[in-house]
Amino acid sequence: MVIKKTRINKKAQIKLQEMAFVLVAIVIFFALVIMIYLVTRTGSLKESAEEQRREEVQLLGLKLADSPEFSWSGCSGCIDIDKAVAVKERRAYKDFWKVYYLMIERVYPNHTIRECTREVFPDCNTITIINSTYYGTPTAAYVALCGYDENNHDRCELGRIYISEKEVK
Amino acid sequence: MKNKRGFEFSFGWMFALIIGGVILFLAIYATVKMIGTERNVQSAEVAKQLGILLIPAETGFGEGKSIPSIKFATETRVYNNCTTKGVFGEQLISVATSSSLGKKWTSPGIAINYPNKYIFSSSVIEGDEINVFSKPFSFPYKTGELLFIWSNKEEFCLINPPGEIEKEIESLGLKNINFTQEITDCKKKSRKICFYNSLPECDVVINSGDNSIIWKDGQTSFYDGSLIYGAIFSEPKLYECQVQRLMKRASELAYVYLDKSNSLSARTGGCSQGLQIYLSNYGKNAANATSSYALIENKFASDELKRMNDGLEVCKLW
Repeated sequence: MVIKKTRINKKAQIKLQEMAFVLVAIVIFFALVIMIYLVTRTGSLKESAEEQRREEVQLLGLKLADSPEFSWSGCSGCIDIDKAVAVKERRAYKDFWKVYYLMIERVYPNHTIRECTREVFPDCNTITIINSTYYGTPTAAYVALCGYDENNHDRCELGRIYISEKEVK
Repeated sequence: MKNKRGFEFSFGWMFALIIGGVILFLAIYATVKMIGTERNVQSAEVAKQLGILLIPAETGFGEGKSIPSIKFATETRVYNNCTTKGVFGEQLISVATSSSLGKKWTSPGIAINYPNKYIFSSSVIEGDEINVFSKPFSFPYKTGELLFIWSNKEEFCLINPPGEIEKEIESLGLKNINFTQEITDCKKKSRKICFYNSLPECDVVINSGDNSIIWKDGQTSFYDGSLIYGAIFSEPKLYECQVQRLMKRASELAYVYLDKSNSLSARTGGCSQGLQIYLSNYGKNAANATSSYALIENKFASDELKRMNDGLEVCKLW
């Protein structure tokens, strides 16, 4: 009788252990599924955010040239270089376009390689409007930079606008 | 003989039932939470995408411009909010999507802020398709691009509008906007915009004589130029907030033009110098705008600046 009872107890213990193992396996399985899902989801989210950021930067180039702070009244998409220098001097615009880097380069004709300020303008070649400590790779687009020459005539030159939004980490 | 032994409910069974129940509960709880998070993420993504989709409406020359209507995958609520805090104030857009799983509407997702957008609409735009058109606002120089948004569920009834507004709306092919001579011809659920006539059924009364807007609750606002469309598509609180933001931007722009004038006159021997004192005063006054009445208060200064700039033979500032 005692031997039979011990055998039943042992059988029950083995069954219990089996069940415990199965339950642990199920929990691990669910945990793995959730982890894989989260990793995939975070990856695709980062990708989609990055894609949206790139798309926005490209469109922003167009928008900036047409915004009242930069637009030249003579043509659509042209930048008023005098206004750009004025905007550079105004701190209020630091967060206005939500970009981390905004620079206008005077490409052709050549000018002295130095940063433009009110004092040295027009003898300079770059106007850095926003320059945060951290910024990603800037996107560049060619634009027409217009202004008045010394005889008060309209004069446009070739320029490039560099914009960068913070990269998605 | 009946078997009187009861059902043997061993410890193994009890253990399996309890742990099984816990696992099932956790799985269901995690799924519900994940769906909720997923919907919030989706809402934030839609809000961000909407901001990007609106950019083409804000670019380019010309007076009014409409872009193809924006279609959402599901029924969506776009929350339009505005704040005057900071140098330029902010446009806030958040989105809630509908779903057949769980609660129909989620709470609005993370609001995306835009210091350089001005959206005139109802505070909640609900539908699966939204219509957008834009118009520049000049006071006296271009100050911003105004965006007007309404859903496919909203209808507007304009009673006796000025000819140029009717013509512009027709030429742009704007949907869900009807014109009538009598308010009784308007659809019951439409927003009724009355011009000149103040009737109790009107949701908004626009008087072009004194550039005033009387809202349904009796509140009065003022408009100038393309802001007349703001009265058609917007609500009083939003309208007032956006006008204040536009005035703040007009003020900053006055200083930009002042700097430009200083730079030009130094280079060219006094060109546009006459405008400098006016620009400086205008910048100061526009920054103090606390309501749309500022449009009336600064109208004279704005007109004067426009007249002076138009009078410049060379080196116009705008």
